[in-house]
Amino acid sequence: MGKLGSAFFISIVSIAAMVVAAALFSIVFFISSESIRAIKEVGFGLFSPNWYPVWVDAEFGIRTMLFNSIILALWTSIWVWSIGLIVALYLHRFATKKEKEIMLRTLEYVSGIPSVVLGFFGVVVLGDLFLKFGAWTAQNFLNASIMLSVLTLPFMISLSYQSLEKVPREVVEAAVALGAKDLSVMVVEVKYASSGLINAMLSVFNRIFGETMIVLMVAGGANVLVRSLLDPIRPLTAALGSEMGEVEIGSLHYSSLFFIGFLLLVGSLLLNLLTNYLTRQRDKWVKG
Amino acid sequence: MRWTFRIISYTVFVAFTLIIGIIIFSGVNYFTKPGFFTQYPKSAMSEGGIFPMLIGSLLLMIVVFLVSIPTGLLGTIFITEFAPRRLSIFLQSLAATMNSIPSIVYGLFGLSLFCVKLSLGTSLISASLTLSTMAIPFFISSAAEFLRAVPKELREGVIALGANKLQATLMVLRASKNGLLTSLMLTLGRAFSETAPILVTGAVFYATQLPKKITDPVMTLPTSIYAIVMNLGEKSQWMARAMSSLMVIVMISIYSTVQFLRRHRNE
Repeated sequence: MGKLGSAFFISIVSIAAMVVAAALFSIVFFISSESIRAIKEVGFGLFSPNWYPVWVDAEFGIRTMLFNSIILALWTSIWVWSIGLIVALYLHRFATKKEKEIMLRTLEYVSGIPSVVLGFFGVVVLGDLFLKFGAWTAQNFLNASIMLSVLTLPFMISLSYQSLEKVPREVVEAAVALGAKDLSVMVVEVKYASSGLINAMLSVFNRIFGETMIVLMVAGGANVLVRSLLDPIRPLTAALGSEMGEVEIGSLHYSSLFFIGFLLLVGSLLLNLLTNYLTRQRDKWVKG
Repeated sequence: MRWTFRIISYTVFVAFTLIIGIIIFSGVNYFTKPGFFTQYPKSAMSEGGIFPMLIGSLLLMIVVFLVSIPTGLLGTIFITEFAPRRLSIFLQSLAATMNSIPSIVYGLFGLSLFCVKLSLGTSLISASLTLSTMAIPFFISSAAEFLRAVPKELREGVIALGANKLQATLMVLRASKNGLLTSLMLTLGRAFSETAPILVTGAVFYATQLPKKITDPVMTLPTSIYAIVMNLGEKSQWMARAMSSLMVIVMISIYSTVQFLRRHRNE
């Protein structure tokens, strides 16, 4: 193999890497260029509360769906964050070797359950339970929130567990030597691992916000602002999932759906930047 | 303190085990139904088997494998072996960013580029290219970790023995064989379980025949589960149960293999 072969090989691998970079930019390009029409023609109407895309006087307001998405994601995230952190702390500090092994393995299996299967579980099993306990609808906010927690908890637990395991022994020992008890030691560890934990928390929020199948199947699909835990709701991604297959290509409706996609894309990119910024800040703080 | 934590953790653990158990055992008994794996669904999916969905999912996986693994592997090699440090960090964080984009956005992208602009329509090839767009950065993020874990001394040692860059790269690949296999399985597993992108780019709820060309639409396992739950009644639900059970069993075997490989590497 001569110089020419080497050069050839290098050019092939670099092209492959550039394809990835190009893919991200073309995603941004295609999503935004398809949504331009909606932005031009509907303008601020996009943020009005009513979504009646196929009426004669069609309205393309996404405000209600946007608020529902945010409320659902925040509410679910708070549960996932706190339960996830507690389980991770338990695994890290108290669990025996056997417990750790079994739990981490089960978590991996759960993280492998496809979201459509979880949605199905939510409709068939959890939905029935809801009806039995007297809820007036089987598919609702709480049901979606529970299934989304099942989807993201394994992720939260294993990421936080990994960052807790990275806390150096000296830090813990120093805290104990200073007289810290269980709780204070945990606070020290959580503070030390905070950059990893912040990363886990924001990724969880991002995944819940962008998850489609579960909210499409389980959330209920009523476009009203949520007022109680048992209300059926319709988040942004559910509108995309249910209407994208039937929409006339190139129509205003099509373009407004792309605008929703554009919001999701921008949201996740911004969240990514925020994660990078915050984790870097915490890293600096930890290193002094 | 310890006990509160233990009780919460055990509750989570029991709930998870129950969910997996219910999904698997409420569907697994249908596998023995005659013709379950070999027949077409009949009478609005209340009878027959899952043959076309199985083949559809399999075809998708094959195309995703052929497109995304070579590209992903070459990209990873560039990132870990050839790129200057800054570019390598930049590309890796690009891949990480792409991993966090919601899958439905990939679906929209695939719809607008593959189905409409390249006029491939709702088809096997659009769906698998869309899935590949998701799978490539996922593979890169995962595989780059394993290639970086190969000690520097090995690379330098091989080059000191007179090997050129290509031979050194092959050496690195051989050293991280198990890791690459892990990334490969996780990538295919993720593509297998993803629903939203193929829902908008390539799947139909019912087709009377298998796709003959790559521009034909397909039926797949995940989209059929969705279709049954949303559109069909009680009578067809057994099929969704069986397919869910099958999908979870496939995913658990993938993760078991990954765990086996990991233990093997540590020894």
